[in-house]
Amino acid sequence: MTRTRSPFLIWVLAIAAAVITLTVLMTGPGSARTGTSTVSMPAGAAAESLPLAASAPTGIEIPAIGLTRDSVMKLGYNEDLSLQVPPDAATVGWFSRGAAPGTNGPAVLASHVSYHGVEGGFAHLDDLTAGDEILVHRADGSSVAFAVDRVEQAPKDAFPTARVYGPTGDAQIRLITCGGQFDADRRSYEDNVIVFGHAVRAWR
Amino acid sequence: MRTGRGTRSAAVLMAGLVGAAVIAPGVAVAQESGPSSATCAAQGLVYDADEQACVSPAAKAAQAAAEAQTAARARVAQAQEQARARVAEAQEQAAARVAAAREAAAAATPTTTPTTTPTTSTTTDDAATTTTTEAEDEDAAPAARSQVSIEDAAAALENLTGAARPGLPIDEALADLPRGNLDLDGVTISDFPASGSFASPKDACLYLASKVSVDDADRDAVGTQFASFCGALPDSFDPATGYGTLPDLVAALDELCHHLKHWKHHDGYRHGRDDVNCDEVSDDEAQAILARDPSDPNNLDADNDGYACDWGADDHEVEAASYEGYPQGGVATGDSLPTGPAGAPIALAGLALAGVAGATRRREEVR
Repeated sequence: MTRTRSPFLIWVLAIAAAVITLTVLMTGPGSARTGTSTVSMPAGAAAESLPLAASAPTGIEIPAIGLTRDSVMKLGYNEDLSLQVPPDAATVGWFSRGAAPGTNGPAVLASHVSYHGVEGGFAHLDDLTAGDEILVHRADGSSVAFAVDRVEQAPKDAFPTARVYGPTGDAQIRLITCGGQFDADRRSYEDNVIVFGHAVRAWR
Repeated sequence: MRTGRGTRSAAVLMAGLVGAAVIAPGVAVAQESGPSSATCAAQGLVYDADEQACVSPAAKAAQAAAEAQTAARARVAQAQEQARARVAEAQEQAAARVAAAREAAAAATPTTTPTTTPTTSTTTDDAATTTTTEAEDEDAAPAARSQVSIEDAAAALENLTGAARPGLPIDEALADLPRGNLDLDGVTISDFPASGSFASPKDACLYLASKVSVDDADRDAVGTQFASFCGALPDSFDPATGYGTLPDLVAALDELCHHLKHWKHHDGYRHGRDDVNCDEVSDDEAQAILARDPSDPNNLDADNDGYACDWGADDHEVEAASYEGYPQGGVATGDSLPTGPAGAPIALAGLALAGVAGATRRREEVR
């Protein structure tokens, strides 16, 4: 016996499926995750106690957003004393006049969200959530894992300078990119997205 | 049985229609929001000049050529207009001088009039001729280029290495550069390729870095930054990465150097130019240009205080090299919209909707 189901019900089911699919696909990889993404100390490595002595970063991995860089460029100041930024989309830069990753203080790293139409290294920074881990490799052969504390979005004209660059009692990290509304006339975003994190372990 | 087949056909048809109906807006949105750079690259295409659509490299070059030609024509027209204005002004002045000379001649020596008139006329003709020549030069200026012109690439290369290679294709210009003195942290430098062109931006960057010379005290600092920058470059030239060609890379390296605090610029950056504006150069460059020619033909030192482009009363009072405080203000880590989600997810959602509708319909048939 064939039972006839209302066409209305079919439409309701179909639209519901479409909405779910859209929601999952359009909101990026971060929202699809159910837990945090961590990094593991490799077998054979020896744990180091924090804080570490200063050493420049040579690479960074953020598995939660699929980022891996085998080098990190040094950043200083622009002539207006703002933080320099990498001259291309992919590169991650480190503010070399500030703290080194693993030493007490905030190690500040920056990369573009989008540069000349090319997706930047930190394009998906706002997908990070508290507990996600960031791995920074250093020139002395050691590595430091940081855990994300929070992700903030702040207007550039009210940038939280002290909280980003100011001294801390432990080893911390800041990851910076752009966010918010894009001003097409100025080719600039109105906000910065800032990830705050702290060192959880180190090894060599 | 026949009825069941008909119902299935209807279900398939319905699913197709539903899918098409939903995909259509997705495709429309995709078209509105523009393709991503990855989509362009996957099709062997590049962004157009407005970064709104995928076009072939040849089409983009043709578009750039057409735009440059239009711009060149506009410059020529502007130059001609300025020439006409200068000629008219010169003629006015000449007429005034002639009239004055005639008055003077009438009062004293009439023989000065013929001498004055030709001289003035010659001056006027010279002005017109000079301007026309400039206009012709503008018209003949090369136009077809992707992101960086040959001239800019040559100037960037000279700025990087101090070696002037005007008129040479960039590959050839790199072949015989003198060795530099940077300490590149032990990175292996590739030889100049036998093929005559580099396949990897990374290798080309390191090769170029090996040709850069700085003061001995800065070899380590500048070398580390070059090694760091070069190491992060992709392994192949690809317009989607921003490093589509060797000239693009040379220009990017030049830009990088402008940000290096230890960098000392060579003369190539403004080689052969006499129309430098403050908004085109860094303060250091402006100061170097002023030092080379204190007569200041570019009026970089408008207030004649010896410092170029120091418009604000206290601007740059503290130089970045000696500044020890926190960076000021926000961070400029984005100059364009991200390559958006566009149509693919929406189209996928449309397919999902079609599938659900079809599956539901099929379950009804089975029952």
